[in-house]
Amino acid sequence: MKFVPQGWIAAAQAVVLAFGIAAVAQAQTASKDLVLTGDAKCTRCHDEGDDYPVLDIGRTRHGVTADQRTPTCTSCHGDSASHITRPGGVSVRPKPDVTFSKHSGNSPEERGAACLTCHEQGEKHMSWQGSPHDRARVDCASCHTVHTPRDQVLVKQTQAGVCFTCHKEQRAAMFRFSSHPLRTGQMACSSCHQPHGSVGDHNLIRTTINDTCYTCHAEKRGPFLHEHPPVREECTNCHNPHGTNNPQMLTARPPHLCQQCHVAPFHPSTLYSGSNLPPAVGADKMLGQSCANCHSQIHGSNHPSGQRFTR
Amino acid sequence: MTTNDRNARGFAARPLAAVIAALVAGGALAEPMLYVPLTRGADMSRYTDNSVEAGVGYSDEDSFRFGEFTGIRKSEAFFIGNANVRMRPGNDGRYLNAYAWNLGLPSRELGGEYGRQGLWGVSASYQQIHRYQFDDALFIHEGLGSNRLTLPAGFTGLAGQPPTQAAAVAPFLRQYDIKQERDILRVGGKVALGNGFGLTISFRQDERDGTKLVGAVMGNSGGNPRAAVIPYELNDRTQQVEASLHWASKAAQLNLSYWYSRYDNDNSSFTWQNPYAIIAGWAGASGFPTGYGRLAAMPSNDFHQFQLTGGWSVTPTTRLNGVVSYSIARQNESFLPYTINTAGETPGTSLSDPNALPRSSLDGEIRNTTVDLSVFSRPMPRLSVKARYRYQEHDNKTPSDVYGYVGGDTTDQVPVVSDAVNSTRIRRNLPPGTKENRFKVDADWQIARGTLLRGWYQYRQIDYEEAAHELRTDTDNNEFGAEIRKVMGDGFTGAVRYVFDQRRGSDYDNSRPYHGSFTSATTTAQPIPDNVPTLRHFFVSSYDKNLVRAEAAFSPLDRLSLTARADWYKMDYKGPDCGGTNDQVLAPANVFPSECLGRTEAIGESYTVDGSWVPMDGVNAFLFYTYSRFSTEQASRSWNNSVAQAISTGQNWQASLEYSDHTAGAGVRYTPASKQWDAGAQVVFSDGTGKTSLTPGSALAAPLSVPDIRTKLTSIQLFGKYQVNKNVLVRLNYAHERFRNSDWAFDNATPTSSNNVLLTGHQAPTYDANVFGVSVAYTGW
Repeated sequence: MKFVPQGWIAAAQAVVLAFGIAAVAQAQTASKDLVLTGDAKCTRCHDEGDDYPVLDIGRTRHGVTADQRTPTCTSCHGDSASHITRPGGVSVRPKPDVTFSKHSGNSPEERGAACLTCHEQGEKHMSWQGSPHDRARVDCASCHTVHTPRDQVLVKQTQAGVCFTCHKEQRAAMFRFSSHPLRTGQMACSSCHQPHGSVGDHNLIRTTINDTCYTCHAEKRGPFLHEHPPVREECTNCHNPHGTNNPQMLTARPPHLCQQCHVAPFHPSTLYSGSNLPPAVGADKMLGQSCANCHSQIHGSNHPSGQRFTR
Repeated sequence: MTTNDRNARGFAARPLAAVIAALVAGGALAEPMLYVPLTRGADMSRYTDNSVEAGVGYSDEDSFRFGEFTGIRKSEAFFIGNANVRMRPGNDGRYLNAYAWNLGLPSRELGGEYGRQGLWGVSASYQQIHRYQFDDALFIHEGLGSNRLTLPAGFTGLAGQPPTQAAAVAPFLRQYDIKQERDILRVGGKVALGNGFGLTISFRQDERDGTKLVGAVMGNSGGNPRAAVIPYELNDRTQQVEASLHWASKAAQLNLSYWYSRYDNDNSSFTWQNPYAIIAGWAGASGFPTGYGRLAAMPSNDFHQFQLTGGWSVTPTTRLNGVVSYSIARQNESFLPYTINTAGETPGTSLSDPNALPRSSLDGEIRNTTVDLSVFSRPMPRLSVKARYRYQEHDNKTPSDVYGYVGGDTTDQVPVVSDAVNSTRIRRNLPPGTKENRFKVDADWQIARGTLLRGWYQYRQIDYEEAAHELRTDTDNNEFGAEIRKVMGDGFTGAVRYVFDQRRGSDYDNSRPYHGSFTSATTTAQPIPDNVPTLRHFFVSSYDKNLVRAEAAFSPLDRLSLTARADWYKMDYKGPDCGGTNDQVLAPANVFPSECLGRTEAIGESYTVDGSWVPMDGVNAFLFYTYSRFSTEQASRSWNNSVAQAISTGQNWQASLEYSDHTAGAGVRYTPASKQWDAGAQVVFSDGTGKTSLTPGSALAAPLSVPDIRTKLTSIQLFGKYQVNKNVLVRLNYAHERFRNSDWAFDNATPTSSNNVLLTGHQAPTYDANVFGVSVAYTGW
């Protein structure tokens, strides 16, 4: 190999780079912003004919330039100089500094930072850092699609499909006999959960499980004269809100569910079985509403004679 | 690239969620009629483009169950009506969005929002949710749907238990629909106040109307119960107002919010005429035709919560978050008298004059305080740590008094309400309250490129000292968790988690609520509490819990993604202290055996395999299968209030309850390159089984087995759309659902099948429904 002084190589590279930058600058000067302020350097390539079209951003909230908070491409993707200039000797154009696709080379923290720069200031996102999803390495783009006009996870009728990507047990639960009206789109996962972190356990929208349930079931809030302790403690002691094959989303079937806590003399501790089903004379504890055939005020009673939750 | 960048790149691959999502997101996978999509990548055109859609659908099935929430409960045609408008008038950031969904169905919604992005906005929506429960329930009362039910002329009363009274009942049985309607009105507004301040206000009103089933009890609850299951009128509303003042800078945020919720029940009570003729043990003329029963409706109540939430990024790598919340829940609905049959619902039914109530209303109040503080830091690029402390108090200020309660509206009250009287019908109410302290530290450490190790410890202590409602004065949980997560390039992500959680606490004292609630004369005369003292309530009892979770995502091909996930846990409630000193409430000659009664074990498990495939451009497919199972073991002792039976293991019985289901689904959608049309299909099959296995003790008769509960759903959806021209598209939908349910609680049960309760006779539902829909949408204007 013929010896070439390193200085000449460096000088040649500098000349090439200078011409390259000048060419890019020329191109940028010639290009106009299409959607966002300063997007010309990107949209001159990433137009609708490109493999990575980005102009749909103009149909989203991130494309409203009248909003002074609106970012530009580099706000999220970084300056990406090497992506724009494509250094000489590189066969494949480097990716932008921050990307959000499956093949992204960025960490969840880097991707999340692109969003949190603005969104952490929002009241719904300020608890994100350290939240369960953050700890599980789920970043914003795992659920959100920024460049599409309607983000599937933000539409009540389609949101669950995104959540089911990970929460598969809940998808199955939706098909059980008794469940909240999620499958028919009257509710969404976010009716109860705040996926960006919350003060409640399980990312619930309220401080406690019960307060979350009371959002729609305020009649069970009480306080009651006669309280049923497991009800006051947590609704989930008896109910699985994602769905079960028992009526009322009960985790198990009465009377045996109730008998897991009640071993009082006579009927509370009696063994009820198939012997108490038709065609034999049915026991009132097995048929119909089971124990709730009589103890129908099981969530609490305000009747002075409601000690046993019968009225 | 910096060292930090290289370290971070060890976790460059996305979490499991995104691996599938990225593949699927390229095409629209599902747009089935009536139901939400099951995967990511739904066709969002209906929610994106300006469109007005109108059409007609037809269902060939009469079934409340099929129409439970959609409202398609009759064999008839229905209107398909949807609309979506998204406008940005002008270039100043103004927006106008409006929508209307399912206008032709009982469960529908419409709403809109208008504002100027970044400055202000208002929104409003109105939603109706119908729930159709039973269309085959039978009743003998009149006035169904109101809060006062009477018996029809000609009805002569039930002279015995229902199974002997079928002939007396039959002529008067009539069907009545059990259904509820919830109308939800939401109004909201937000405004940016400048300097980082913002104000958000929302109002929501839920108005409910309809009926639900309730047990109308006439007899007392220990000897001669008699009841009828009848429709209870729902007529109530919940109003909620939330206002929050928000301040934010780059580094810190604060949010001060107020949440007011008020529940108003238009009914304070529910009254019914007693269908049963008087029997031994009933007083006065409380039987048919003069006797009435009454229950207290859920009382109106209100709730105020003040909450301050804050976050502060102390450094670029450290953040503090905190919440202080204080709320008051109050209820002061006027009490009903002990029994309706005092002044006489009808003349001649007066029972003995009841004792005066200790108060005319509860004046109930619970004050909740929550303090939640956390610090999250990444002190090193490879390490992140979170520490969290939480304090939660439910300070129940509800007064505790002594009530001489009447077991049923057919019985007399105890003559004297006094602590010196031995009667189980003199009881003190025990308002429950708790204090909880919780501390958790959670750290993850990248031990090598692509390998993350996470561990945590949580201590949780709940104090029941303030109220005597619980069997222990405190519980303590110690939880340890560890997880290792491995990422191998773009093709594989896997994680395994193990958690051990142990709950212990103070000694059990089964007599604690007993002594707290009953008179001293009663507890002296009857030393065995109202439950066998070796009973453990599962929600406070000691347990050891082991949990294992494993998950993996694998993309062998760029267009094929597979995931698998397994969750398993077991809770062993067999504490070491059953039958100990605290459980021995009788003379030494009568020893309660050491078996723990109540729930002794719980196992939950769920296994899923899931795949998505793009075999060629324009074709998206998915497949999933989930097996879930939840089971419990419990022990009990059947006894008749005698000491001999209370301590006899021969009276023991065990129950194993197991609920499992298989759920499988598959879908495919094809969109040609022209995108002029697309079509798809989706199938879901769900098969659930509920098993009850009973084992009697040596002194008990062998029980007959309990049949399995079976729930089978097959759902098939075919859907497609054709773009006629730039603005017009046609949608075609077909849905078939087959549902089978067998349930021993309802199968073959007539209104008179039960010995003490007049049932409704409604059966476990089944249906075969076919729904067709064709609609035309004008879009994209």
